[in-house]
Amino acid sequence: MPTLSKPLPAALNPRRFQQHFSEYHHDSYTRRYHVTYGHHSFAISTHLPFTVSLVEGLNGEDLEERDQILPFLRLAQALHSSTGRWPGLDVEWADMCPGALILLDLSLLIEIKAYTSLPELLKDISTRIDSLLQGTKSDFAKAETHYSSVLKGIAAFGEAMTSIQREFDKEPNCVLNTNTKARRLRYVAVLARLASEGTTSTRLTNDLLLWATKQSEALLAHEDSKGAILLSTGRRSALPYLDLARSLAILTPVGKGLALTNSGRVLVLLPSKTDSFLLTIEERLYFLFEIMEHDRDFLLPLLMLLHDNPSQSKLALRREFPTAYKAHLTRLKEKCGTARSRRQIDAALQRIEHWESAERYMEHIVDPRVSWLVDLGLCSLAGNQIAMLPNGKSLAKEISELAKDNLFVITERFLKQWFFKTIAIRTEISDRHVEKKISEAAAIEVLKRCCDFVRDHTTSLARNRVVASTLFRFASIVFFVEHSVTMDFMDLLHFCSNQERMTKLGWRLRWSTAQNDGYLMPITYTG
Amino acid sequence: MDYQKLNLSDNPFSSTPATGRPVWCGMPELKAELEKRLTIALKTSPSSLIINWGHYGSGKTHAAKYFTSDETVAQLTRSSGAGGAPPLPFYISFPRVDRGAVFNLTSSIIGKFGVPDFASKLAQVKTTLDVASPDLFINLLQEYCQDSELQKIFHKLVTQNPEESDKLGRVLFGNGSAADLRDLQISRKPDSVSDLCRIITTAFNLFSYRSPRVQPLHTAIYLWIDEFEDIASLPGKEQDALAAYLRNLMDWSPKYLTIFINFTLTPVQQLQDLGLYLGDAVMSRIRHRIEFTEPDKPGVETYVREMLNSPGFRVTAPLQGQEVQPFENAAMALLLNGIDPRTPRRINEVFAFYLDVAAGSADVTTVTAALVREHASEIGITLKE
Repeated sequence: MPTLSKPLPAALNPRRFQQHFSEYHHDSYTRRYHVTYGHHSFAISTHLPFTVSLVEGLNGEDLEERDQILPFLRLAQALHSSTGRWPGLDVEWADMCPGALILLDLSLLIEIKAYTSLPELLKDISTRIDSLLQGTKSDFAKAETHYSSVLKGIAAFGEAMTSIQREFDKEPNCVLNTNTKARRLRYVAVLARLASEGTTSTRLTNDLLLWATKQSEALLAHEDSKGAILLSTGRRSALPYLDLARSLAILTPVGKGLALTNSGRVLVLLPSKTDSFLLTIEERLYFLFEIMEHDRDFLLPLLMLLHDNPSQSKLALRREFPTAYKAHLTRLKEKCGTARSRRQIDAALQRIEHWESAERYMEHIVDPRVSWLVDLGLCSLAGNQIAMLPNGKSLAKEISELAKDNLFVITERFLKQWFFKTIAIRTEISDRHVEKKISEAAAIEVLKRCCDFVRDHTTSLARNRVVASTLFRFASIVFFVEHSVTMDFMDLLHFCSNQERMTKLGWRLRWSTAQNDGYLMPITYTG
Repeated sequence: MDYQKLNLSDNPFSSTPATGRPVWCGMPELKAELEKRLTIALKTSPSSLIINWGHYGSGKTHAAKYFTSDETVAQLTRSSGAGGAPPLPFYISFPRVDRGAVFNLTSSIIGKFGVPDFASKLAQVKTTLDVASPDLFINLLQEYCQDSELQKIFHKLVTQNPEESDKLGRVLFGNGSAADLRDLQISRKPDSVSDLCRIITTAFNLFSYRSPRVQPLHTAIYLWIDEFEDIASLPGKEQDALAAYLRNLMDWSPKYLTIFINFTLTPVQQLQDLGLYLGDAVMSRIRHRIEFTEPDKPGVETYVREMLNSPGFRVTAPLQGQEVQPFENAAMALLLNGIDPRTPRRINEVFAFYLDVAAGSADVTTVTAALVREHASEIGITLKE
């Protein structure tokens, strides 16, 4: 965190001139004011040195047309022609959810002494921008070359948004078909540990039954004791959890048996409690990611209902759920990019119309998810009465606001890009300050420990090899929990794609775009 | 393209394994390690399963093709001093089928010869065994094959009746009709994993059988299975069948068989590697793991030099100190720093590209540092000055 310098003088402080702006917003994290003056948007530093940037928001649509980007390039080239210097151009997107900002530093246009107030200065800047842009309608070739690395950032943002759209269109209605008895996430975590070496479903469920029998008292002591695996019912009562672990892609069939996936392996690496149904913070973060990825369209409407009414009975929630789910799907329909995905949403909407005695049926959808929210530490349960906890309220508020703005589609790529920056900071921090950045040296140190840990605790045909997706999921949790830094999966992939950094780390990443995964190995050559 | 001006008859760098007789360049440690394993197989009897692993383009397929070429095998036999008949090498590409992977694998092995030649080899073995003892062939067949119906197939094969050849072929390749079976007086099709594996291991055992009075037809059998990571794309049942087939191959051919399995390290289908597909039974039989590492900078330079000067590519021998002609030293230094990953495939891509650029540009006879810089972004390398 940089040391704060002096605040802006009154004449340049946007807070004093809010009435002059059609839009005004103070971003405390980036320490900027965002204001719209005339038809231009500006970002102004909250502290000295005084900086003004021309700003445009990008949402990933029509990026190929570059209509939003070309004025920036033209303006930059015009400034270069008149001053001989290139203005700073920056694209911020990796830390933002779910859009990007392009910022052009206008310091070259500022002569502060000539103005008495900020509106006067912005008025002059606006006039000069318009004049420069009029005269240089098609001249941006040099700027395009000069800012090639910045433009790559825009391309990367465009690629991320395209991936999210593609994932969404592939599975537009993303819900888990789980048994109502699959309530306790601890059982799933234990299943993952039992499956570490690859095994059959019969053996797994028998082992889980054995564990559950030993821990029956711990379950009774848990806030919500539903979903018990009972010796009297036999391994049948463990099967819903096996199905849930498979649905969450923690386990996958291999031959006639089952094995941990690369994602499931992360769960085994995390600190755990084997004698309690309370999840550790690391496990909560893991499960929330997985549930958001695989059960988005049931979980989000549920959270939005709980945002509207944070304290309500299960019965009320069941009653309201069909309407909320329908509204959620209707909103998603607008996000569909293909006829196929629209058809699938339509089909889901039609199915809702045929839901009869919804209150009873909703028990199968609402109740297990409420139990998961209890395990995730987002709500509490007293009998049938649900009460959102502060972290749950914070998450539900964020989800509802994003929904109101019609901004989000949560997919795997979205979560890999923004899970910690947008979700985890709501659910797991109450009294801590979280950083979005960390020094390279510190990041390398943490990653090195994570690489060693994952290598020492996983087995592979090839020795000394670490699966990239396992490492990135694991390390992102370590960064967040132990270092209060939001380093998401994609941040780590980007970080590890830099050869010089990896040389310092002592590991080399080999990524396969086709498999959307890769591996790391220690650098054994010195060339 | 005019490669002559670059003192080359053609571009020696091809990004995929070349057809024709393969040539080995650079990476002497890897070559030595593979030769060592093959030589040990010639001089010792226990069968072994060896895993070759490396990144995409690290040269696994090339190594498989190189070490299964008749010329390399003959040369290795000579240099090992083991003597005797040359080993029998097989290069098998992983069966990319929805079902019947085991059948496909078996067909690929028999298909190396074709049924008439397969039968001829078996007949050759029988002749040698008959000289030693008239009952030896029958006894060995009973020992190796066990199943009487499978034994009948071998008896039919060694008679080499041209009229039965097609029918036997159809039965062995899984297309035999009821009429074929009737004509051959065989009661059932050999279609289980065990049957198919028994046929192959019986043939391998017969080919490599030796005793004080019998010289083997082949000193050893080398079986390279390439692209084994594709096992992930098979249905579960097929994965199990293939793992069982591999296990049986090792158990039923306990001597003189060396199986090499090539696979890339990239996680597939959400799993960390193919170890889980192979299962404990096969994993525990793995004798060695050979890593196809990326060469260091001097290693890349050696590779490039040997590629440029490999037989048939030079118009005239380059002067001493200019063995990497047409690449200037400064250009080489830039490229050696910039190539990532340093796999043979990537090295081939980059050097082939620059040779093509130079050959296609008028008045360019050398690849200079300036030329490298000018085109670096086209081939996607980041240069570090």
